[in-house]
Amino acid sequence: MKPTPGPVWSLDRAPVDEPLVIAATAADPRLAHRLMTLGWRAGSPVRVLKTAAGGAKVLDLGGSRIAVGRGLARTLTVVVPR
Amino acid sequence: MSRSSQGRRPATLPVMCLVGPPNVGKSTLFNALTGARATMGNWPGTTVEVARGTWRLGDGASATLVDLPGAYSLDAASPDEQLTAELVADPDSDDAPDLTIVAVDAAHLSRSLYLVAQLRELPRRLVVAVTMPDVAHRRGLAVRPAALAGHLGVPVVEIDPRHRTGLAELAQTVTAAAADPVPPARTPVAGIAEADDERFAWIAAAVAAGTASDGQVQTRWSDRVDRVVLAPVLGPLVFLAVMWGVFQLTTAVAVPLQDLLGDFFAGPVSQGVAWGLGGLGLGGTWVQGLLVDGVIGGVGMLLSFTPLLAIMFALLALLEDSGYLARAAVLTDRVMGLLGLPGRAFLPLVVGFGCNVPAIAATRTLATPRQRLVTVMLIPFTACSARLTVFVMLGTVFFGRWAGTAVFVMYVASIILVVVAGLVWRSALWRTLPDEPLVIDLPPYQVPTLRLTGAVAWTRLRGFLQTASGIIVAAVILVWLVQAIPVTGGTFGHVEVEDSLYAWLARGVAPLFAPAGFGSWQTVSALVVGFVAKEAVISSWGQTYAIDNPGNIAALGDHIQAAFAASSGGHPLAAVAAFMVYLLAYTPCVATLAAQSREIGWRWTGVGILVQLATASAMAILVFQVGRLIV
Repeated sequence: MKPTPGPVWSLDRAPVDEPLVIAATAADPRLAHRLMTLGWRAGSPVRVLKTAAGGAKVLDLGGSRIAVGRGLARTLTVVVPR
Repeated sequence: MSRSSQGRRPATLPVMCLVGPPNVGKSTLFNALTGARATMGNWPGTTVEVARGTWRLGDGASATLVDLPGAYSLDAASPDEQLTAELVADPDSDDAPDLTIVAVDAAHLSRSLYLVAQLRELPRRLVVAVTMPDVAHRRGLAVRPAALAGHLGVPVVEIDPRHRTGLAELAQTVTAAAADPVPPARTPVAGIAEADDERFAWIAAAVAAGTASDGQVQTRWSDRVDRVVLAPVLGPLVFLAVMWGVFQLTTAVAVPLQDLLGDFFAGPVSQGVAWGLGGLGLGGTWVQGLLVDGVIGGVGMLLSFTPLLAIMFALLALLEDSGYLARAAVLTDRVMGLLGLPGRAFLPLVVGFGCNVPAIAATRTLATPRQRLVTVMLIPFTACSARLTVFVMLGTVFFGRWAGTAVFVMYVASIILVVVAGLVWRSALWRTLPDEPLVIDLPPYQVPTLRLTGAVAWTRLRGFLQTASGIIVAAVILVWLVQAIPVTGGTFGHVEVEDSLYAWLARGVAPLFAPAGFGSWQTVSALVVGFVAKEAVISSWGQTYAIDNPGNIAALGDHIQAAFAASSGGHPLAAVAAFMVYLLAYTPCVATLAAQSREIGWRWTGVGILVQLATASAMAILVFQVGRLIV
């Protein structure tokens, strides 16, 4: 993992519409792999676009739009780069 | 998993597989290449749906094109991905294609190329088809196919299947690549320990070499639409409006067409055949009964479902193609999560309130066989509009001005049944499996194309008719047969209902329903007819009580009230409530069963029937036994 300064947030509490950097992925390897194929890799940039009805987070991940459920968002972490 | 070589077409045409991540326009490309020459069905030995078609490559050459389920990688996360991985990557597979076309999204190239990276590590003939150049162009991105091909080491063609550009070039490239020897596998760059890191480095270099960006970041209109469609209050409202639209179109628009086709078969077609048979000296014989009431009745019923299914399939294709279905899945994920189902399962359940048959077909949009199985098992508990007609009639006859309330209560009961059955199925069968967290790609919105919608709807409709038609026609003929066989009077084909095998069987079974208050043969036989088609319950009573016009509710109502009063020992209201509950929950109509068997196989369909009969009996007995203490 690249050294990324700044506070660490769980994805469900991360600031909206700010450039963020992915810190950690899911513990479950199958899920981690699925996230990786969608572009969720430690050190990659990400942006939370909005919180959808029902609590899912809509992300800008390498130009794609990905929705991540609230439960999963609690387990993923991001940092705000300085 | 055992598969026969039937997976490949028996013809000697070369087999080409089309693979790629979901939402890259793979199926659109497949439809553009094969047109109406496609068939859809499960891959042998699996529940994975695969489309096959003949692709005319030009100069008289053709190939069999197989559209495999969407996969982000060869590391299978679902049975769909597993099939794709086995077919294109397994060196021992008998079904390995002669060439694999990987569809990649020009606007999200780095993500799409992961599958290419994995496939390039194997000795395979590959062609990369770059789709959605228009979307990439709007974002200031351009793909340079020659440069990308140079880096990837395989031919690259830019195509736009929605607007049908680049298809001829793809055919030429594929023809040339198929004639070439199999290229050697890529050797991973030394010095990078993790295979994934090495692949991503390779992908990044390919994207850098093969694309150009004008550096302009534009606000996307998809994001603007999502601000409304996914908003906390507005989003669910839009969703409900869309669901209401789907429900309306599958009922309000399709039902008149359904009636028209039904009347056409019951009227001109039946009369024409009867006239023809009269000319042959067979008029009024059992042959006429078999042909008119059995065969034509069955075919007419099958065809009367066709508009309903065609509209349903077209709407599904529209919702999928536009990109809205993915948003709907996000909105309903939490609610459906309570039942262990993904958000997408909401739509089939809503459609079930219109008609169970297209609802079961709509479960095809669910990602995994487990999700499809649970949803298919729940759909029969949704009160379809055919059951509604019986509820309205009984409500009017027995509850007078409270008829509306009675019907409403049945709808509430239906929703409760779906929820409770969902929780029971989940805890009984899949409690050991963890919940599937929501991770979903939201494709950019696009205007659906009529041609694609039509092609997808037609392929699915044809698949349904091919598998369900035999079962439906056979069931209708069977019911005619038991009504035609005399037991206590008459001759074959000329027998009063009460003298037929049908009434004899119903009399035999009727005592079983005595604890529920409706143990008379007239009522029980209506349930048997309801197994063929729920709306036929009323016409069956009309036939049993010799009422010429079953629409004459008053005349029919007197007979039915008397029958329920007699069978319930003076508690007709409790008995009719029990009957309505039974009608709601017992085995669905034969067309629904045919659709179920197509999706989940006869074993699970059989389990579903048993569970529903048990549920319906228990509830009906409970309602009657408690009800008779009150009314």
